[in-house]
Amino acid sequence: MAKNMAQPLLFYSYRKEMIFLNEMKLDLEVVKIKDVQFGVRTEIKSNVLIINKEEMLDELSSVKLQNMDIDIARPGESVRIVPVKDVLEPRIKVDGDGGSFPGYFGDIGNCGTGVTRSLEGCVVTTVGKIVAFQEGLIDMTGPCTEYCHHSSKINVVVKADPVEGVEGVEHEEQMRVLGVKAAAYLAKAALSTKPDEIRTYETPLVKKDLPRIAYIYCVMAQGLLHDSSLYGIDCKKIHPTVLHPNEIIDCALVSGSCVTAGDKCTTYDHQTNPIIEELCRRHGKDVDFVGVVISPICPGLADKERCDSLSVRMAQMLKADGVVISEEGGGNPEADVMMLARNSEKSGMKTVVLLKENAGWDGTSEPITDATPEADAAISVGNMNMELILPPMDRVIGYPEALENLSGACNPCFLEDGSARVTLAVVVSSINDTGKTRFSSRVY
Amino acid sequence: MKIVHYINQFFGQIGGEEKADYPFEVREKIVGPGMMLNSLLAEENSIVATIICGDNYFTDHTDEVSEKIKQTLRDYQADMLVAGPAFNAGRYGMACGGACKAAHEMGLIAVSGMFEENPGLELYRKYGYIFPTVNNARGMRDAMKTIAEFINKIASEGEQYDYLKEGYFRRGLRKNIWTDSNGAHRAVNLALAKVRGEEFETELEMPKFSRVEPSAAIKDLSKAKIAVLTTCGPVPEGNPDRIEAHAATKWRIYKEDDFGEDMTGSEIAHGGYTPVFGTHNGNRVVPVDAMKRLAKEGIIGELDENIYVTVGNSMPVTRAADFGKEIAQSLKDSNVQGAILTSA
Repeated sequence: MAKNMAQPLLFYSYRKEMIFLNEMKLDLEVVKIKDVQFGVRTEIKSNVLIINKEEMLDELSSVKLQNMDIDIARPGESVRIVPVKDVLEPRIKVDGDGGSFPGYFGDIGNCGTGVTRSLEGCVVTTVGKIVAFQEGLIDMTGPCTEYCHHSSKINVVVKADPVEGVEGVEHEEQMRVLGVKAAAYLAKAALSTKPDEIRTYETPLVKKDLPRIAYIYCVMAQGLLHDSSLYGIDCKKIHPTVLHPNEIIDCALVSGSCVTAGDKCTTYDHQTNPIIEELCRRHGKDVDFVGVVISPICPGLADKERCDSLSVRMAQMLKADGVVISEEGGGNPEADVMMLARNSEKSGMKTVVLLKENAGWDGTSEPITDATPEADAAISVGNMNMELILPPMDRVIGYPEALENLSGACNPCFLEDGSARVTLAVVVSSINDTGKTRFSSRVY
Repeated sequence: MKIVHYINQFFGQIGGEEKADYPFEVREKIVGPGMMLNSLLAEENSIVATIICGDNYFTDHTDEVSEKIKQTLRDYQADMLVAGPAFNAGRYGMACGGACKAAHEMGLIAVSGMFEENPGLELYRKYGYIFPTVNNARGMRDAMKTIAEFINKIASEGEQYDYLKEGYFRRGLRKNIWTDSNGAHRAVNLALAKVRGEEFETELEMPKFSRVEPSAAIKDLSKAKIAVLTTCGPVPEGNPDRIEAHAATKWRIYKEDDFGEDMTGSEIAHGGYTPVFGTHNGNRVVPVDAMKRLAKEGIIGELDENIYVTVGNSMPVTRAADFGKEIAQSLKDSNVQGAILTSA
């Protein structure tokens, strides 16, 4: 009988320290898109993305969706996109199975390693009425652009309506998959061109004694169309999970959330999470970035306690000295953030929370709905109740009448000159809790 | 800038304590301490009218006087209200604070001066730029000089939010600003400062919430009138009162009939959860059917005919507290002994 002999591992004691987290390396090959046009073939020519509209519509078609159309909105154009469901950046694996958005159209095994190509400067934006009130708005010019990072991208807008009988959860799923499909389709064009820049993401073993920081990433999992998906699995159905930061960059998280537009994470916001970017950039310099804990935000207390306990325990297992916690949505999720802050501090980890505010139009109200003394280091990403007057646009992609029903529109919304009175809550990603912008709020 | 100046009966040269009931009056001229203020203002800023009101009159007729102040500010198309200064005069401080609040509610700038122990300061600091003064009117010139300089500055440079630099009492208001670096960068810096044991400063102090004492238990539920309240936002078809989906500015009373047969005419105005379950089935978010059954079975005495509705989505806490007071009063007025509040 043949006997197998195990090969001794070299440097066994050294390898033991090298937990798997530290071994992942991702090259993000960036193709910078300067314009998007419709044409006869979907391809990239001199940094211009050309789309064969018919072929793309064919690719996206679903028996459960109808009236599908694709449109292009460029920065500076007098165009309003409303009601917006999600925004995604086209990304695709160059090696491995060539998939994108693992769990949807790609293999999970190589997510976060190898080579991924992205189309920077353009995004896929999905539009359609899902829950009447809970989509958002993107203007390509005017005051909105100051607060909305999607306004500076070329938006490839995909609009679709459900067929008779498709509603609620199924409608949301159809629109979510539509966005993922559209981004995956466009990203394929990146394979036959050369990247303009390569960004390498890795968090190798740090031998210096640097503060070990973990990121507790709260994501919507409240149900009732306030959901996120991790590797295609609904986050309501998962326990908190440790991920390597590269997995997020490589599209493991997809937004399924139809919550108020201003403070949710679109898929784009997940793919380009600035806390992950910041910690990766500073890894080995002044930070030892030990990993990301995905912590679902569930509405019920028992689930909140479960996610709190497990997330904090995972951060402890990563031997974190400090944790950064970001919220998604507001109100109910503040309870999750406060529980996590309290538990993290009590477990000996120094804690920072990122929160958005609902301090009233004039800033006279308490800015948040739950508080704990342990959350003594908070970053404010701004007060979402701030009012904006948005002038009318020459062209609207989507459904203009939806604007006055959006969560965050004022009453009355439309003024005599056709302008709209809204709060920042309607502007997609404007008050996003991951701290992408320099916006904040102070007491005076 | 067009300024309306608010002063009391004493500084309006009407009289002392015996004239504290002097009613609200507007004069289209500069009166008393306004002379000094006006002389210190830059040319483009001036007092366009003076309001004189007795301190007791203000306290006894706060709503009426506040409304009249707002009307005066509208009539003169004022940009700003200056109140006092009140020094350490308690009732005058309260009136100056109330006048600042009226201007603030119209989106106008309000400026005043008070001694640090004036009770008007604590109650009304949110609503205006209140500068510290000494405790008596001998400090008038210094106070007016500070106030005039500040007015001249905001007239040319816009509102000033650095309370330490400008010297006014911290208002405790939140103001959106642009910082030098993004939130993620600031968050990591803050985490490192905490881990290293360095000094750090939060951008958002944790608020302290007031607690409401629960009322005593209902002795006999079978005789009690019970009301249903909801922040889930069920509204009659078409949302006739336009209750907003987010940060709602109103609450309304509806009757069961407003929602059609068996509450099937309901719509959901709330913009924070999926409306599919409550649309055309209002009972799922405000349990009128279940409450009626309980009344029929004699478990509760009766169901109040009023259904109290608002949208709780991202509502500022202070507004929610105001709504709570108003709704509680309405419940008391209709002899309700207990209430069930559903939320989303």
